[in-house]
Amino acid sequence: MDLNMVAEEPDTLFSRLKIAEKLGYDMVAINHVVEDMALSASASKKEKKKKIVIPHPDKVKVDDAKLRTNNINVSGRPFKQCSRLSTIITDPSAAHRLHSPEVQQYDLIAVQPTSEKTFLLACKTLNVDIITIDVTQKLSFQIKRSLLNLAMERGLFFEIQYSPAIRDNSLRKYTISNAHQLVLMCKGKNVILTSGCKRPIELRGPLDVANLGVMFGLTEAQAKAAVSTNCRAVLYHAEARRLTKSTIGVEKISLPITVDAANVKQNDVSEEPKQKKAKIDDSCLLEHKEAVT
Amino acid sequence: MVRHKNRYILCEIIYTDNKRIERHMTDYMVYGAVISALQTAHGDFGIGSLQSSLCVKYVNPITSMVLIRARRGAHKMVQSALYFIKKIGQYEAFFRTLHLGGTIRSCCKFLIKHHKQKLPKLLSECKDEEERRKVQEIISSYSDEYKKEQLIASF
Repeated sequence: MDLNMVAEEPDTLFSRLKIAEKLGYDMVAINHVVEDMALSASASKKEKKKKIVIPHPDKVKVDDAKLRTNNINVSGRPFKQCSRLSTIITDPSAAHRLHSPEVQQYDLIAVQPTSEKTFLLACKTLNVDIITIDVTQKLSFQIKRSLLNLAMERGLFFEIQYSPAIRDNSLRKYTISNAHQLVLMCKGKNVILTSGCKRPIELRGPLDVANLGVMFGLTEAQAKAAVSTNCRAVLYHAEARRLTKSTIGVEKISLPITVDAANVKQNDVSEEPKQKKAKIDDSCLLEHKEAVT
Repeated sequence: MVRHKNRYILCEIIYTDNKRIERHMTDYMVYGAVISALQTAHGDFGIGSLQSSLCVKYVNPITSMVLIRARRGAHKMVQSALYFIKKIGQYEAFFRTLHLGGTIRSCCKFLIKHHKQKLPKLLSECKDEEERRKVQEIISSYSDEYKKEQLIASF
């Protein structure tokens, strides 16, 4: 899984997706970057933001159709995409905008703290899924273990992008040093490795990325988890985040539920199964919550 | 007598332009790319500890498969260096590690399995039924065992 595919430069996006599929990824998050949440406060910018947020699912859909034409996967698994919004928070007061419904409708939300204050905020209160560690410059704050533990309890994950390391020599040094700092503090738990690629050449296969994780000081099992199971956990967390405000989430029924519905007496098919569905969805939600904590 | 142990890294070259054409690719070009990447990633120590054992055993320009040998223990350095490669010869390309094996034979086995898995997808890319049938005929004309022998012989 690769949870960071920058959505800019749409002409290369398709080729990047194609290569990602070739490399064996089965899930890709297409990332929309908002530079600064504080800037989008003014009225004109707000419109812009709205414009940006809404077309996103459509964009993904078009690609889906395009992909389906030349995408018959060997393993039989469909290639999935989800949307992701990431932002840099510099000002703690602007952070509440992350809770607006436009932002929350994204599949994943990531923040990149720039100072100790915002890092604390992100770890403690913000309703997000991923905390990005900046790898393009020296870290401007100390990562504290107490804060990390707080974030881990909430089920947040820390992201290290690996494509800057391929892009440039000096960025590589920063990537390695920052990643080492993080891994040292969190003991290799709750880390995900994502690409953040802008060109197709900056993508790497899952095995190679896991190997890079070993370079960052993770153990081999942790490095593998960083590209697979941890990413899945992020998705679960995101789903729980989107569902917490509603009491009941209605989704398509999967197979075991239909069996349940069939067991209910056939006479009142119209009424019974609906309730059943809702209940089961509720229990799913609980499961998600449990998985997160 | 202690056996000298090696690790064989089986990689696929992935060209970023995503076209399926035969390219000019030699083992020398791959070796050059690996060595220069090793220099930037691990410096003189990396080169020194691997110079005697590093060897590109097999390059297939058609399927773009590469087999690289390295001393066991130091192969981690090769793997991490492979990661940073952006250019091989004159092409923009990178490596994707498929398998890490202890012997050439194990890599070969894996390669055959890998190609078998890929086959349905490749067949689906044929333009019409005629082409597809032809390809299938060619493949089936080689029995499994014969194919294996050929591959081993080509190493």
